[in-house]
Amino acid sequence: MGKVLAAGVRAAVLATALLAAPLAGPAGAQTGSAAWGGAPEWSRSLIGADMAPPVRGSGLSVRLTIAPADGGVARLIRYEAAADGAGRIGLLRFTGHPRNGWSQWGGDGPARLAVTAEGAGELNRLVRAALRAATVTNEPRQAGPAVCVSGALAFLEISDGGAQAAFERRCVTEGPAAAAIAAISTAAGSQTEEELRAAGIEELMNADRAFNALAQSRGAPAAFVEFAHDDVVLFRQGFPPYRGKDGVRARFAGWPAGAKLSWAPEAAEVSARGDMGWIWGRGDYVAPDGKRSTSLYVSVWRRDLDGAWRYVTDIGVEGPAVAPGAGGDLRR
Amino acid sequence: MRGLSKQVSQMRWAGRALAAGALCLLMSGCIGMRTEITRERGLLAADKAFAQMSLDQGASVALTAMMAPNNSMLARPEGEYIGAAQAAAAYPAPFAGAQDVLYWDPDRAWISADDTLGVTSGRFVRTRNGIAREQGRYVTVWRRDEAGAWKADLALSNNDAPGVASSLPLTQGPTGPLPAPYTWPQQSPAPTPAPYTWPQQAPAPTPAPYTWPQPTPAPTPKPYEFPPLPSRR
Repeated sequence: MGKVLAAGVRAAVLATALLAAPLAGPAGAQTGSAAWGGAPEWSRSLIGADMAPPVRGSGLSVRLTIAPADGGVARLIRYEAAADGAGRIGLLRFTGHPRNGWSQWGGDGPARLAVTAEGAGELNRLVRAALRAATVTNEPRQAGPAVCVSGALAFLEISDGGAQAAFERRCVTEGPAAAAIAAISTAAGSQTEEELRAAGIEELMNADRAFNALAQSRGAPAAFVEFAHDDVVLFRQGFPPYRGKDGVRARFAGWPAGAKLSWAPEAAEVSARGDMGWIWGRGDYVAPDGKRSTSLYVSVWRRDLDGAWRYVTDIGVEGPAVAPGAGGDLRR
Repeated sequence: MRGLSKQVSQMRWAGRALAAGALCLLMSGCIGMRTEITRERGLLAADKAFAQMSLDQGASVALTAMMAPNNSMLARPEGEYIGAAQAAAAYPAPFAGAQDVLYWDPDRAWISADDTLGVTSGRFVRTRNGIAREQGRYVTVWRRDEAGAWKADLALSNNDAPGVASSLPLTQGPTGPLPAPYTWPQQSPAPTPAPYTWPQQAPAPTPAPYTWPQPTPAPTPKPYEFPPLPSRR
């Protein structure tokens, strides 16, 4: 029931955001700045999902809204140059069509990607060149043909200190703004449905690896509580299911000091909307007396309200050790 | 006065707008809830239909239909079975008419927002001739195939601790009683064999009474002849 209520609240929050978005508009529309201007019609529903508009007057901050003209994967990419020279990307992804509307992919929160100092240096250079083109050489805000078969609709907003600029582009491959759009789009990834699916699987497997890393640093009991979804059900051979985070704590109440549980994911799958996925992998348990046992586990994951992956169920089968990969290729 | 009336009117409209907004939010939440529950019920029904198929036609038939043909995995303590054919082979057809039954009953489902991926969990029992041989809990991970049907990608189970009573009815199926426990076919009784009689054999010839061999009498020693006495001369 709690899950159902949470889903209802989440839907209500989303509905509020989507209803409010066209009224509030992007940061540029709120300020009425000629440089930023209003967002194009096709981008407004996507921008409405961005809970925090770019902050003007701070360091280099970029928001790129990009959508395929003939449907597929649309993205809202936030890029910020960090003080240490690296960069950060926040990514919201959508599937759908400009005419029929977009469905947000994955969680409500953005996926966060780190950009290396080298990559950030190149992005910063391209973005600042586009900003300079707009403010110095009067690069036009709108460019590109009216009809585009294979290109993308792009709306680029740049803020760097006191300077701002916005660009609308479609099917444009030349010019400073187009170069910045292409570079940011490539850095964010998830450009096609295939890339989106691969990114979702990779993000889920990375979550399981982070789960294992936490188990090694803080112990399995703490890690299993930390990564559990509120709606979790945990299974254990010979015991009734453990429900909720309190159940997880009960499961590990008698965890022997010195015992080590480690695991590695072998394969994963993610739903088409990216809100749910599964992993199977192999585990290794070492008792305090050194006795080892292996297992095969399956865990099912959902996103929490922040978009982070949390497992909702986990079940393992103890069995003989099998070489990794011997179980067949379950990656599709 | 007119200004006050206008303010009250504006407040009323604001109140109505707020109420309408709240109703809209509640309705969107409720619709979301109902949709999710409906989708979960659909997956539970699919899992139950495969359980019924297992009851009616045997586990191997049900697993062949249920597991994804190639890239699925059924994991059991003795190893992993990849693909539907291997999974079916893990539960061979009842041998010699014995009543092997694998039955399960899901009690929980999770489903993705797009209805393409789901999970069910519940209890299972494996019986032979009405006696539970294996029981516990299972988890099955599902996805929709190209035709929109649910197919299982992964299936795992954990056995109960020994001695735990089954919560699944072992004698009552979902649509009626399970078939009666297996009874061996009645065969015409085999003729009672005649008591064994030992073959008549010719009596062994009575051995002649043992006669001790006659020892050859020892030669009678000659009477000792005293040597002639020396003459007394």
